[in-house]
Amino acid sequence: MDVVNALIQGILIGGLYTATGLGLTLIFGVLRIVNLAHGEFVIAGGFLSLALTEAFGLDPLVTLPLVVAAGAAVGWLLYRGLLGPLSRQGATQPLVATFGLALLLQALFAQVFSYDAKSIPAPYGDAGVSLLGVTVQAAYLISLALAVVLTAATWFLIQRTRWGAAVRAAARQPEVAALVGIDVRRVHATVFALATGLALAGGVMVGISTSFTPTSGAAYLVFGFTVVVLGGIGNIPGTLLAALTLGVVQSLMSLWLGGQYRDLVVFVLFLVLLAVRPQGLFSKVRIA
Amino acid sequence: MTRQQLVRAVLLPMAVPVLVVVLAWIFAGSIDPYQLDVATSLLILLAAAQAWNILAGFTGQFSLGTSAFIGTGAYTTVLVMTKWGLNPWTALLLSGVAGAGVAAVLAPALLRLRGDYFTIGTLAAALGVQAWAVNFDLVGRSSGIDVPFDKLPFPVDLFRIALVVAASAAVVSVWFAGSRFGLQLSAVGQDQDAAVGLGLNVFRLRLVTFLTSGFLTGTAGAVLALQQVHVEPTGSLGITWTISVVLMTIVGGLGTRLGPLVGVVVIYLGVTKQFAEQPITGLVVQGLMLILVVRFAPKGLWPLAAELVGGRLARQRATHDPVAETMMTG
Repeated sequence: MDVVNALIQGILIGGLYTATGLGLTLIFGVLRIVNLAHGEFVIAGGFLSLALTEAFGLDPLVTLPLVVAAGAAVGWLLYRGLLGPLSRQGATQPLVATFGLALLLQALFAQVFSYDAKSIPAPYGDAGVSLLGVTVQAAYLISLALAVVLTAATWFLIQRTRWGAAVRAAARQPEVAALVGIDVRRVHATVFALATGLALAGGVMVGISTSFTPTSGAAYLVFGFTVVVLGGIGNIPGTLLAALTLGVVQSLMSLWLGGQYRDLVVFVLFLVLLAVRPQGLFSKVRIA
Repeated sequence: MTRQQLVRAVLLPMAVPVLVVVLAWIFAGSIDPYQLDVATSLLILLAAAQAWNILAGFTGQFSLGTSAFIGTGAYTTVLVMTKWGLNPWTALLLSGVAGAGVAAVLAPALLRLRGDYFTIGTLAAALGVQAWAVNFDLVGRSSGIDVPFDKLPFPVDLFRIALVVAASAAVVSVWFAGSRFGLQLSAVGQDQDAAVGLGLNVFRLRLVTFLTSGFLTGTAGAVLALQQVHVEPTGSLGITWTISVVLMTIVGGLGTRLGPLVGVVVIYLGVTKQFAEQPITGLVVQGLMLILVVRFAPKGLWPLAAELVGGRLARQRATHDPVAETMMTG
């Protein structure tokens, strides 16, 4: 019974990591840059939704489209103004810039909201729902549903739209894509915008389900990257599966080793994964 | 590489830190305790920044794991001094070995893949070591452990230990920057595929730098433990160490021999000390500096200054001696 409970909780936790992983897998797979501020983008979603909820008495889910739109706009500006030009200079420059950005965001969060742990108040935050005889938090269930919707939407955008075809072309052969008339820089900026929007959406899900602090970002960055590697870079359905797998692993390990190891388990898993199967669980393509 | 080149590129520059150590060692007795403490802090950072520079600057392996190695070194020193009653110098050496040991454990996960994975992997390692320390009785969980009071070195002796640690990192830096081995490292840093094409064993070269950097950062952590006495997860294993070291090296000049020194002095005195009471403002300044430097002065301060001075010198000489200019730039 405990194991069934942990399995269900794990799948639900995995929902929280999906949006984070989707954004990262796009940035890493298409733009080939490591966004060290991605974890802070996630947390920004949590804080922004919290601020809107408190200021206007909105339901967190109503704030979600606003938060995503704001994130996408800022992401687009950041890529156009800073990261795009830097990424044409080398690999280290965008890395350093996103690291600086992460520190700035942490400072901003701490200044406005203090270092105390926060969560977004929602009527369904603590409400219990019975699922296969296990009582689960409604917020987690909503997050999981959102994760599935976001994954499907991202998959549709990338695989079934004209824009998605341009993204895939720009990811595989940027030079050739440019030759056939694709504005690669614009495509990259839109991908970064989408990824940032997804990260902030992830933050709203984290915020209604659990708590976060200005310094939680680093852990979400590593969680997100674990999902990316586990799912195979650029593999969108793989990202969802990987996020759920990660949640289950984390939940089962917490059950067997104790809850205080829930983060440590992910860090170790990530390193083991890099050593043993860096191409991920759901991919035959080697990336190394 | 001819013998003459080796002397010019490696042995002469190596003599500088050695000479500085000898002089500072002799005069350490006449410096007041407060200055000694500041100097010790600078030397710890200098050692760690140079160790990071070897990785990120020379071989393009952008690590976010400095705090893990500082912490490993600090905890090792406290543990071997308490449990085995060892003296500070032996503890220092073992802290270095522990740092290299952590690197060796991480190597199979981090070195087979490209640099991006290395960056996130070292961050995972840093977060992991911290999460481990918080939960383990051996290292006192979140309250931490202390260096035994009766075995603490005097400030003068601690300064001398720090001096040796920073100078060792400098000697290694010079060796890695100037020797034939250093050229191979730089090939790995610039273009890994080309380095493989040249017949270099990229894994081995990356491993050697990772182990060396781990060793040096571990010794810096040992000095930190001896200076701070109290070692706990937030202070000794905090990401702050990584931020400082990255910022200092980038601002000073990534991949240069003197960049870390310039960066450590400028940032420690100009930012770390100034904003010690306002950590949030300090974080803003650090973040902004990283972005501004990488955007507008990506080489860092030291190469910028060297170019300004060197360019002027070269122009002056060029009026008399065209050969001198080619030597300056060549």
